[in-house]
Amino acid sequence: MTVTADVPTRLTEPTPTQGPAPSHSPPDTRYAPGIGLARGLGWFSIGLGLAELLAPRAVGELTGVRCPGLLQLYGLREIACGVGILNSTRPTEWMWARVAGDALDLGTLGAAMVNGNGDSGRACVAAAAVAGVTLLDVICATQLSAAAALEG
Amino acid sequence: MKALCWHGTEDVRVNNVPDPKIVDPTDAIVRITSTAICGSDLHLYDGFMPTMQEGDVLGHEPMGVVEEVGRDVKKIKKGDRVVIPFCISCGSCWFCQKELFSLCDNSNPNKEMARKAMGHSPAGLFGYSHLLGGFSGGQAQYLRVPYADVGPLKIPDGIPDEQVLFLSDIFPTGYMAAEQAEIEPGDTVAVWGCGPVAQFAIRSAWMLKAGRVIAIDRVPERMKMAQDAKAETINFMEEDVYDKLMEMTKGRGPDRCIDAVGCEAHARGAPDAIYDKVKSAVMMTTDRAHVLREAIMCCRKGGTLSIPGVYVGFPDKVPMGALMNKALKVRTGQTHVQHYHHRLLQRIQAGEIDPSFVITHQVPLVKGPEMYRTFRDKKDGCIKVVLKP
Repeated sequence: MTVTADVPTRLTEPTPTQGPAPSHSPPDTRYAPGIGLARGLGWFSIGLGLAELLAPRAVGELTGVRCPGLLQLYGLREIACGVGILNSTRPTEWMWARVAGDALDLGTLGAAMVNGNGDSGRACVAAAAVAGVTLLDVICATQLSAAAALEG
Repeated sequence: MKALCWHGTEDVRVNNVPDPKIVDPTDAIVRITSTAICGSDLHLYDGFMPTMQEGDVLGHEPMGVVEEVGRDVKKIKKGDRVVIPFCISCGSCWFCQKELFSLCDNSNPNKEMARKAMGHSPAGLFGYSHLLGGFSGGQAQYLRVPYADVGPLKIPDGIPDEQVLFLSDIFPTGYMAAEQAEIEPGDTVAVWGCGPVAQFAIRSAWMLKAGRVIAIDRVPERMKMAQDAKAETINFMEEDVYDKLMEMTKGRGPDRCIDAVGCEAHARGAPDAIYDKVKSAVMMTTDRAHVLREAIMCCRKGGTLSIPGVYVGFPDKVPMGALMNKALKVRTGQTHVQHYHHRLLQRIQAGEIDPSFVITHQVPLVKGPEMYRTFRDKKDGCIKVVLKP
């Protein structure tokens, strides 16, 4: 059978939207499940950071980590994370930074437990507290990451 | 400004939130003069809609006065009274050009999220989850309206808010439901539910020359309102709906069926409804689809099922065998409000209908939280709530 020229072309492909939108209107709020928890952890981070920065010896007494200079550096890290979290509409990266910081804290406390002269009990209690906060940090960071993945 | 904000299941609060600002040249800021609570807002209130977030501003049935427009807005200006459609549409994509405004390709900034959930993204909606755009809603003193040359409907002076407010959603939704039911003169139309959308679907069915309208509910004042519109009613708590409909139609079934209930259906002891309740209680489903199943079973062979009721997830036990073998036609979708609102405004101006009949409560915005509960529980004769910011 020969196909004659007057047979209409059958459209089998959907016609896409042509050209860009006249503009792009952003959402009024970003999807960030866990943002309330993140805000709480942000304030906690700033509070702990200030304590480490301004009273490193007292913090060292409580935790068994008797390195004031190191604690002050950790304090700066906590404050940076806290400010980052509170200034972001979806602080996914800042929350994962907190998780990394928690790992560092746990490592430091582990070292204090092994080497601490009579302070291993305090270091052990402090490590348990940090482990609890780490759990919250991981939950929050995971929620925020899931939202980011959903947005694509 | 004051706004009604979602804080979790059954937790709506009046919050002070930042005033909206123009963020795109096609935006407008509207000072809200009237805004309503929609039945579909109750799906958010009851926690059925995923991707809601604490602090989200609710509401998608607003109207008001234009306060400010972006530099690219040409059709409305400061001081205009406007009704704002609940769906946000760019006006230029393939779907908007075909007047399928609720399917706009461009207005949902979180379209990837919606694509993962539904395969494709529909339009963004005001105050209806982040999946559908993350836009703040209109139960507030002010609202940012994207694509302001496409959505807002200018209202002439002299028509009170109460007569035109529902052009934002429920009047076009009821009308589209009736139109999609493809009513032919003399048809018998069965409408499940006697809530606000159903009330407009009933009246629209008459406009489209139905011969008989049968409404199904259990709330006396809602059934009375349907009877006032000359609908016959069935109380599903007192009668078996299938048996009664077959009796009323001599075994043929209604020609056109409209499910104006959606995902939170109630039923009297039906096994499938109990099954849904159990699954819902253990968070295994978001939809209680008893009405959908019942409508499929009741509809006459070769009839049409129109679904304006909102479904959100993956209801199961849907009788696909009946749907297929009875050759039913199914039409559904969020309403293409901008396709309908001009002609429905003309019907209001012509005196064919006064949509304010459906209002039972008119209260200040700050009473919103308690009105959500009253409306949800169908207390105090509540059928439709209008809030005054």
